[in-house]
Amino acid sequence: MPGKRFFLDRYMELGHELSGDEGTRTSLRVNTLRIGREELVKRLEGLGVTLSKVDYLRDGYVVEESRFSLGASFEYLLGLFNIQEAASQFPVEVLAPAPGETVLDMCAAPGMKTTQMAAHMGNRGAIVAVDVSRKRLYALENTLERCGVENCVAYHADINELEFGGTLFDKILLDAPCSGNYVVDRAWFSKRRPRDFDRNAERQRRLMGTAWRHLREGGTLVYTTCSLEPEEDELNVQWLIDNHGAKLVKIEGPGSPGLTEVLGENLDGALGRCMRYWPDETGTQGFFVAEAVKR
Amino acid sequence: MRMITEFLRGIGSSYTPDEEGVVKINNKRFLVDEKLRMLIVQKDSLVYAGRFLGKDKRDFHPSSILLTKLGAEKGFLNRIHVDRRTAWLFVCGRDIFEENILSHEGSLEEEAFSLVMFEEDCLGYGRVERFEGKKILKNLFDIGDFLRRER
Repeated sequence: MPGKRFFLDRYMELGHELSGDEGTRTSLRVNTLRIGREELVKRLEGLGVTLSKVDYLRDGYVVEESRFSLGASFEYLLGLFNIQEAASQFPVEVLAPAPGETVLDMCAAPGMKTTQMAAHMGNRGAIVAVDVSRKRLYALENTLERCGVENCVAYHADINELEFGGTLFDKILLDAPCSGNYVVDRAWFSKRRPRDFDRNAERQRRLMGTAWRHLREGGTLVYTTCSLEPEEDELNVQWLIDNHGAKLVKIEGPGSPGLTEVLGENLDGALGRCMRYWPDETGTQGFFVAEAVKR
Repeated sequence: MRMITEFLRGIGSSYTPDEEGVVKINNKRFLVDEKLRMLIVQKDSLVYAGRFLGKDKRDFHPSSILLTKLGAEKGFLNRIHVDRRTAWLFVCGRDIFEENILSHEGSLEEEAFSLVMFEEDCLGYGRVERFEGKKILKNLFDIGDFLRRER
């Protein structure tokens, strides 16, 4: 097994010095389908919870202090908020689904980002949520119900084999299954090998190709992973540019630009328009986000 | 559809879902609009669609989405109001004794369904029954179910 030192050296080679002990803080997202931001903050503060706004997120707050488990509160059970890590709220902010649009959420379970999209859309328009895992879809169904989502149809299916009768989507979120990162999994360093990344990349590219097929001309695809590995991030987006002519949009936010040179390989300069969340810079888990337009 | 309507009338609501928009997925009932209906392409793989109304079992079991909607409805629905402690016990799956009801609207007759309200929020519903000579609201659904389902 390569182990922690191997990966830290690898990240150093990618231009980033990490300790491997970075952590993240509990964050929540206000469910604006149920309550206004200020109202929820006031209500939780009345219960002794201290929150601070995450300035780059529409509805995101860091929980500075709470004397009880937020996940077992009336407010959580009523769907007034979700516990959702700050970095994982960012891809939907980039996608910015609007009321009336038709949106595809390709690997949707357990549904945190699906409910976030519904909130952005004010429950208007349509979200198609698809996942291949029936077990994880039970969690999605519960989350949709708890959060009051009414503009979603969800399928238990392999998205690569699903057709929508000619419907093309305005926007697609591909939150691809990936190898994850060490910040949210302390055993990560002892579980992962570089060959896992190549195997994941193959699956991710297949999903990207499917996404592109379902996207209308002028539509937006947001591709995201919680992996720091370039095989699952920049190299996949390079593949999308090379094989489908994707145009990348520059993402503004708190992270670093995507890599344009990876382990000795020079990539398209447009990859600098993507965004990387390095855990030491953002205080979050690792994340990667790319926004591509079909033209 | 008959069971949904019976439940709604039983609780005092005038809400009637448009029957043509109701979609059945296994024993669950959903209300879908035209836009969503066009995206229902493979019904055997469908697990959720639109507004979740509830489940058909022996009776109709309303979803929390429907209960939230009813809780916010104006008019004389059957509602009981409770304090935080009773609300918490209810969310933990307990029934509510009559003496713990702060106030009520609509009917508290035996067999009547009633929403359970804590301040402005609907936490679930129950049916008025008699237990050891005392009137209780038998817990039929509470939002604590979301935690219990995840175990």
